[in-house]
This record gives sequence, C-alpha cells and structure tokens, in this order.
Amino acid sequence: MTTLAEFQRNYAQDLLEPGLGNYAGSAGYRIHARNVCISLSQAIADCFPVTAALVGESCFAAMAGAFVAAYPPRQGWLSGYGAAFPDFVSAYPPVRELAYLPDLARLEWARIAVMAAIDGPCLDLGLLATIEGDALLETHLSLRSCAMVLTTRFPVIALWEAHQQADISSALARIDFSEQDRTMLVVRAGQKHVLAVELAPGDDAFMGAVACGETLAVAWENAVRSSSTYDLAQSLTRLSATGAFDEIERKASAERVC
Amino acid sequence: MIKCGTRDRWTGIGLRAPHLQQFHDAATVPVDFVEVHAENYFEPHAPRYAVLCALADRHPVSVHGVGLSLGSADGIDADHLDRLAALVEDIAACLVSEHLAWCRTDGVHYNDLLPLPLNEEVLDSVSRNVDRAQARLGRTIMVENPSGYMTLDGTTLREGDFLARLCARTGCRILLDVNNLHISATNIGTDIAAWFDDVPVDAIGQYHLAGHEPDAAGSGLLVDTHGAAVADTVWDLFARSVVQFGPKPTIVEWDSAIPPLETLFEEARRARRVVSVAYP
Repeated sequence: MTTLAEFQRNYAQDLLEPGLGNYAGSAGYRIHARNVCISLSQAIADCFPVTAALVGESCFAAMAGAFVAAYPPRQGWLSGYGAAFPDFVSAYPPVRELAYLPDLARLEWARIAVMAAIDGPCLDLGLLATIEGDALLETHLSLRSCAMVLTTRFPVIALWEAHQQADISSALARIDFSEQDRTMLVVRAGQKHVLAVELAPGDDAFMGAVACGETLAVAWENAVRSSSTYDLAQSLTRLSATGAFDEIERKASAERVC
Repeated sequence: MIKCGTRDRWTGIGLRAPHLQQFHDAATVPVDFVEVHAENYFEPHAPRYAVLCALADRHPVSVHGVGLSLGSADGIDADHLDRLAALVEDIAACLVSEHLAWCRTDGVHYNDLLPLPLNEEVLDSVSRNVDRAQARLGRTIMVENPSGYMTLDGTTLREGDFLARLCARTGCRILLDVNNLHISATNIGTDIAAWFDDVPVDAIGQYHLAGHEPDAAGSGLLVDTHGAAVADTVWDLFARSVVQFGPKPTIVEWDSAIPPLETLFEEARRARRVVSVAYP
C-alpha cells in the first residue's frame, strides 16, 4: 500500500507543469494544478507590475510560469517569494534584448523588500557631530534594514516612475536612455511610501562604501575620488535626510569621544 | 434546541487586503468579527501588519491558516508555526483554524489545498500535526473540511467520520465550510446526511460560507473560487447545518473578483437572518 509520503510525492509530480503522471487524466487534478500555477504566477505578477507592463501580459505570464516551475516557493507564505525572479529574468532568453529589464525587476523587488523590513530609528546627525577627530573617521555608518543600494547602467527609476503616470508614453519619451553607471538608493519612508533615488556623483561612491561596511574615512576618500567637488558635510546632510543610515549607538560614540 | 452563547451568533467577513484600510477606518461596521488569512501577516514589520493590529484592538479577529499543511507526511514547518503563533498572540485571535489538506512535500510549497486519502495512516499523521500545532499555539484549533474535486485511492474513511475521530483524538474542532461540503457532495458524492450523522453536535466550532463557480475548463465540476455570491443551495445547506449543529461564529469569504465591502456586509446580514430563523 502506498504511504502518505509516497502519495504526496507522486501527486505533486505534475502540479507545476503538465505531465503524464498517475493523475494526468483527472479533471479534478487539473483544477488543483491550475490553482497551483495561477496562484503562484499571480504572486509574481503582483510583485513585478512594471516588469509585466514592459513585456506585455502573455510574455510575462510565460516568464512567470517558467519561473514558478523552476523555482517553486519553499515557504508556506508568499511574502518573500519573488526574490530570485530578477536573476531568472536576466537569464530568460525571450527577453534577453531588454537589457534593462533585470535591473527594473531588482528595483521592484527592492521596493517590496524595504517595505517588509523593520522601520527602525535613523542616524542622528547631531550625535555623529559629537564624535571627534580620528574616532569620527573610524566610525562605521551602516544602512538601515529598510534601505538598499543597487547599481545599474539603465534609468530604471525613471522607467518605474513613468509607469505611475497617467500618460505613460509621454513620460517614457522624456527619459534619457543613455547607459552609464548609476547607483540607486531605495529606502522605506514610513508606512506607505518608498523613496527610490539615483545618487549624485560622490554620494554614490560614499554610499557604495557604506553599504560595503567601510569606515567613514574610506567612504569619504572614495567619494572625493569619484567627484572632485565632493563636500562631506553637505553629502551627509543630504543622505541622512533620506533615512538610509542606521542609528549609531550613543554608548559607542561616547566611548570614542573619551 | 441547542444552547448557544452570544459568540455563537457572531457573523463576520473574510477581510482581504483591498478592504483592510476601509474596514479599519470605519466608525461602525455591521459585523461582529472578521477573519484574515494568517500567511498574509507573516511579515511583522509590513504596513498591513500595523493596520491589522490597530484594527484588532477594536474588533475580534479570527486567524485562518491556508499554508500550514496539516496533512503533510513531512510534518509541520517549525518557522511557519512560529510565525502563526506570533500573529495569533499579537492580535489576540478569537479563533484559529486550518484545513484538512496538504500543500507541502519535499520542501516545496504548492499554495493550494491538496486532497488527502482518508484512512488510518493519514488520521495518525494529521493528528500528530494538529497536536503539534495546538501545543505550540497553546490552544485548540479548528480544522476545515476541504472542497473535493476527486476521489483518491486509499480512502477508507468517510470525511465526517475522519473529522469526528480527529476531534476526539486531538481536542480540535471542526470549521464546517458549508460551500465545501456542497461542492464535495456534488463533485465526488460526499453523503451529507452521513456527514451530519458522523459529526457530533459539539464538534462544530465555526461555519464558512462562500461562492462557487462551474469549472471554466468545462469538466462539469464545481470549483470553490470564493469569487461569487453564496449560492441558494449553500444557503439552504447552511440553514440545515444551523438546525443540526446550532449557531456558531460564521464567516462569509470572498477572495477573487472581490466586490465592495458593502456586498460582503450584506452577505453577512443574510447569514444572521438564517440563524435568526432557526434560533429567534
């Protein structure tokens, strides 16, 4: 007699893709298989609406379906399902010509990821100002859990924003599609909004170093190398206003002052 | 007549994302409680979690799991159960329920309520999983009868008998989804009279009502889409159920092609009227 474990392994065989398993001929089985594929594909579509708009409904349905079959969820809740989709898009042959698409998908996923992350306290710049000299230069700023730094060569923020407009075509027509290195900061802004901005020269190198865990001295050095007009104080004011930096502990800063 | 308390007369709605904020903001609502799908609230820092917690301060909230996979031979996922327990505690859930179904095997989550052959081995397995869930949650749960689309080899027990024995073994109770019972009766010949005979009156702890639609693929089967108004045949079966098992907290669910909140409220009012006819 078939055990429950054997039955379940056998039953699952054709749920993600049509096959010739034991249940292939059952109309009831096809209802379950359809529920599986449609619900998981819909979960992906919900996370990547602009990616879907850019490739069209049928292409996206095929791409999401292929993703679901190749990378079904491993958790019983779907809020984290889709993290691997941008990498899948980058290797999906039918959209290979759309070089910007994987980064656009990464931006869409980042927007979701930061909204699910803890919205904890931000850096108090005043506290940073109490740290003096070498101690300040050796300070490690860090990103809040709800902040992400991404790099791309494409204007994917402008692309995403264009798709929030009533007249998408006109908004798309205004975008400069030239390829260049761009650093994007994506930060949760309260309960309803996400801030996504392209960083200015200097700020990008600074934030890139912070994201890699470098000290303030290294981040500053990188920023100056990236932009000869870089001003650390102005940059810190500008970047901390985005809410990207995590708080630094008062105790740690006090120790450094001493 | 079966004795019933105030809570037994509660009627409410399945509260879904499109209505969450509107329900939260409403000064008054014509329902006694709401029910949410547990897995939609497994990210405690997400904005919707804060809205739900605020709402739960003013309204009783029932937590209905759809992904715990009580029927898995592999057992229950510990992380899943921990997240469920955290949610149940955070919002002081008035009721907690799951399904007689499975959705996970070999580490893959299929996101559908898949059918089980009902036999002694499966009863052992589901009982173990229910015991574990109840031990972690520190409370009894309710287990919902599934909608049946196919009969499975290896089934030796009637669904009502299986559920009654599951209750006797674990102390859990049954969430009678009236629409599911109607669908199973229509699709796979589940004997409703036998189901009513098999299940002790005090085993039923809650009712669900929802709409169904014919299979779009033309198989002739009914599909539990939760995408339409509750059918008249299901209202009739609900009335029979209330007479048989007494009034219990009742939720009207609508999960696809979700209509305005007021439409759901109207369905909940109808449920209340059905209860009032049987128990004035």
